[in-house]
Amino acid sequence: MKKIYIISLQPYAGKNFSSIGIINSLIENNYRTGYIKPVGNLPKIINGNIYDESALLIKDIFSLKEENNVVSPFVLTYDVVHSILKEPQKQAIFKQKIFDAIYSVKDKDYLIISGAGDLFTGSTVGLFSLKIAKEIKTKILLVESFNIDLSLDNIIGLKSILSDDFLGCIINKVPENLENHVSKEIIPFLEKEKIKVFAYFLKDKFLEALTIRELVDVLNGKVLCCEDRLDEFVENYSIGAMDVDNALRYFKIKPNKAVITGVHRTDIQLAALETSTKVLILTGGTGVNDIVLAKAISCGVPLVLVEEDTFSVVTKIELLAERGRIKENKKIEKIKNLFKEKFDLKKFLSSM
Amino acid sequence: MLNSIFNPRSVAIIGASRDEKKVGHAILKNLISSGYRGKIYPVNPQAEEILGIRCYKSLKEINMPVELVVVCVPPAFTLQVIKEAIDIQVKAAVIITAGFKETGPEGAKLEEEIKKIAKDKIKIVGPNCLGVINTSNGLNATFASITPPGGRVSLFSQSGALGAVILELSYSKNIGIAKFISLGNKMDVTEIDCLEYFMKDPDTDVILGYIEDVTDGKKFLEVAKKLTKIKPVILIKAGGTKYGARAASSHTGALAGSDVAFDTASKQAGLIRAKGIDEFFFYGIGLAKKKLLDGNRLLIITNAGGPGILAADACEKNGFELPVLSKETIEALKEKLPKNASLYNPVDIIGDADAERYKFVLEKVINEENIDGIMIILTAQAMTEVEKVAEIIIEKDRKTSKPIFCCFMGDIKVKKAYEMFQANNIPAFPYPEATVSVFKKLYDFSRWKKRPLQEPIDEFGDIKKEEAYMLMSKFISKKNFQIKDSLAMEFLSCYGLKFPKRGFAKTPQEAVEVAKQIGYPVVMKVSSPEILHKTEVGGVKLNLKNDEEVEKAFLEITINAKKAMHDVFIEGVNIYQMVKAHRELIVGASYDRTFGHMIAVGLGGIYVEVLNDISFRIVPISKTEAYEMISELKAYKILKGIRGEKPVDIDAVVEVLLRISQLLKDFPQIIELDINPLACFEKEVLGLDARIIISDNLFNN
Repeated sequence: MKKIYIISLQPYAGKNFSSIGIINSLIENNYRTGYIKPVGNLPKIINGNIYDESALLIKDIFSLKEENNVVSPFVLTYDVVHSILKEPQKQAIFKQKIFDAIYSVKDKDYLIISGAGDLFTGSTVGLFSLKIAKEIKTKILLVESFNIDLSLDNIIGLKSILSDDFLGCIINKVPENLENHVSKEIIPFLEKEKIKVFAYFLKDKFLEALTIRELVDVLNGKVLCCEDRLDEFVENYSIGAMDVDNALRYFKIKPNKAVITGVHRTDIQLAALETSTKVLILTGGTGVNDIVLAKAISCGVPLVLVEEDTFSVVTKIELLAERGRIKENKKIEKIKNLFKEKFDLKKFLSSM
Repeated sequence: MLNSIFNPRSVAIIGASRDEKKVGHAILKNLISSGYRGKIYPVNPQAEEILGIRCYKSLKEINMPVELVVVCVPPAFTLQVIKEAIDIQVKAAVIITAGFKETGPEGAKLEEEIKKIAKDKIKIVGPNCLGVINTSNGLNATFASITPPGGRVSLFSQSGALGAVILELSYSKNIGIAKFISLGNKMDVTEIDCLEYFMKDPDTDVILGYIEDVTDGKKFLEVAKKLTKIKPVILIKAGGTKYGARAASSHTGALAGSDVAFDTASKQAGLIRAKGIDEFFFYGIGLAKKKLLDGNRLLIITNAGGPGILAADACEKNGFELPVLSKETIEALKEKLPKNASLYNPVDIIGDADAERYKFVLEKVINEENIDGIMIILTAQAMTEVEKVAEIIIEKDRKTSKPIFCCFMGDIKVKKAYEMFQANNIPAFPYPEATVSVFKKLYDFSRWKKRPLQEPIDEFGDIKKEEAYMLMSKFISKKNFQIKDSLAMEFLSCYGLKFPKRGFAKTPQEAVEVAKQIGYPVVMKVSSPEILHKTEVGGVKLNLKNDEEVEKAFLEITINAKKAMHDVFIEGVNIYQMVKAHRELIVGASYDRTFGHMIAVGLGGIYVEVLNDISFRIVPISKTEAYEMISELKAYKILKGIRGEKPVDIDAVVEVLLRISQLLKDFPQIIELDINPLACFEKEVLGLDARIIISDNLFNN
């Protein structure tokens, strides 16, 4: 059984995204593939036990037979961290749980092991990704969220630390206008430096998109119409605080957006309804204009009324959007297709 | 098309009521008292007769042809009424009832349903309106408190309340109304239908309109352009300011386009825009007199010095001249006028002037060749014969084609005179400034009438439309909605627009090579999709004269840009031929949601925001309009060359405007375009920077 450890240097770089894509590619090529997330960071309680939410999702997507406590043997929680602070010797128990889980996976051709958070997540228990990988003699796959100033250094730096234990990398979230730069300059350069790049993926607004329902939940909003549209995705956000003519300029170039504006700004609301808008989030309490409501219904755009002011709403959404999670089937299907199209499986397999 | 609305042979009032407080009662009462000559059928299942007229249980029970129905039943019953009206082949309906889209989703749904079943079967005015009036046949199907005096001015209003106020004011403002229509929610009949109908209406000489939004900008412009060649159209367009537009949007659910666009459209269509209700009436009264003002030379006759001076001031401010009368006329005046009278212009015939003196002066000056229009000022002193003077003016006015406007100042003493003026269609206004401002509108309208209709532009033979189309498809497929620098220049070059020689470099060495090819001196600008304001980040270097300067500039530009903005991707550096403009203009385009694309030209340079010297047109534009755009600029004189300076190539600027006009027609997805600056020389023009914003047809509808 060959093992691959997927890590990233920053959180939200695309480890889940890559795990789903790689596992799917392997399974479709008839390889028996397993998955494990040794250190979890997204606690979810099931029957009194705590597991990592994304690990369970992946188990679910691929109908993996392993028990929950195998795919997610350990999760960092407030409780765990504080118990270690009090009793450092507890580290050993957690370590044991993790390694037992890893070694319990049998009868597979490949085992995909996913890190959590950033490079050092798990250090509290004495186990961060690089350390586990070393102990179980596994090569490292880096998922790098592309940053014009940092990524090249990150990739080359990690390679020089890990040397032969560095399998290669996936470059993720490349801004559209940098595609040429990455594909024609960065990747050829890395290959010359003997660093394998198995795929690069463009920043994908859809994968980062939130559903209207997620927005409604986090904002504690009241849906005034078009409840049947809540599962649609919002890809852009616009704040309508300016003159309506100025607002229209922005509205026209942002598709599938949520427009956040004051409940009294009927002009902005009507302008938004004329352009590609998925949801209107109206801040500041009560008094929605009836004409706007009628128009929203005829356009099929939910109106969501929230108590908070525009600034607080934007802050909440920003925080949520940054951590956009993959949950919905549409997103999973898209990831599978992206990997089929762009991930160099042959190169990946031959490098192990 | 609106004939059944204004000239029905029979009217049924659905919801006619015995209760004096109800709209259905007021309308029936108005119809009767205004002397409507057609058949009236009140419909009310509970009444036998109302106001002495037999009442019917339903439309069907009438069993006689009904041409117009006036609907004032609650909204829930309206749909049924319209269905019945269609069944018995009623031609038109005025839905007075409120409670439709202005009240929310249910109302909107109901309105949509009525609209659907009415389409092509029955014309509908309203809903949520005051009604319609035709004074020539005594049709007053409104619930307004009065019937206005008859006249030759027709009026449409998007606001019912304002319509009612205007009707009431028509007496005190001395304006006679031919037809009135309250548009309400504009479900079917819009301001465009009104313009088209009034254009052909023999009873209408002047059209007044109050609107909050324009239903279909392109069509509106097309109809207005034709109509204003025949009759003057005076409009109040509300919601022109930020707050006004907000108020309008929550009131009607309609978003007004920008006020600049409406102003521009008005100019291009010869519409006369009134800023307030006073101007609305004044312009209506002044233009209802079908005389034209053939030139800008006015004569002022006054019996009061101060008002005469005020009038002279207003004349100069509005571009009028006050020529001195001919020698013979002055000699003739001198013989009879008092010594202290002023014989020049204004002709001041002194406070004790009687009617005879007014008559004498008018007779002497009326045929003066160098006078195009006459303004007669009167202030009522104890000895002034106000009505007699009015009579003389009415008589003299009949005998001349020159417009005569009166300015009788005061209140009680001149009231009778104003009534006489109204009855005889003599324009009269309370103040000198108002009188002159009406003269100005009349002069504008007179010139507009004589101006040939603008032909559409010819296509340029050298346009590479296919190439531009390929580029545009690439931008859209790459979701590149903001096209800048050399990419924008490449695109615009397809339409024959000229830019300086240019190149691109990724290293200092490449930059030197490119600069050599272009020829020194050169300009260098950082190239990065994320940097919008290149100068602000130190990303621009001008007038680089040799290899060393170019190399140094390359390093500085890339370091500066990185310093100013972290995480920014620098593609390289664009290098341009250094061009020193003789004059700088800005040429641009934007998209207005009502009228579509608008093109602009203005004075460029560093004072652009302060001077705000810019003129607009809705596209497509004609060659004449392109020239007018430039000649409207305050900087026009500078462009033509002042104090021995060389002029710029105005023909070339015109060509740029026409080419952009063509471009916008071919590529409606462009929502913004700037060529800034457009460097102008004696023999050519060059764009030094360009930016285009496109929209991938992202409209919901």
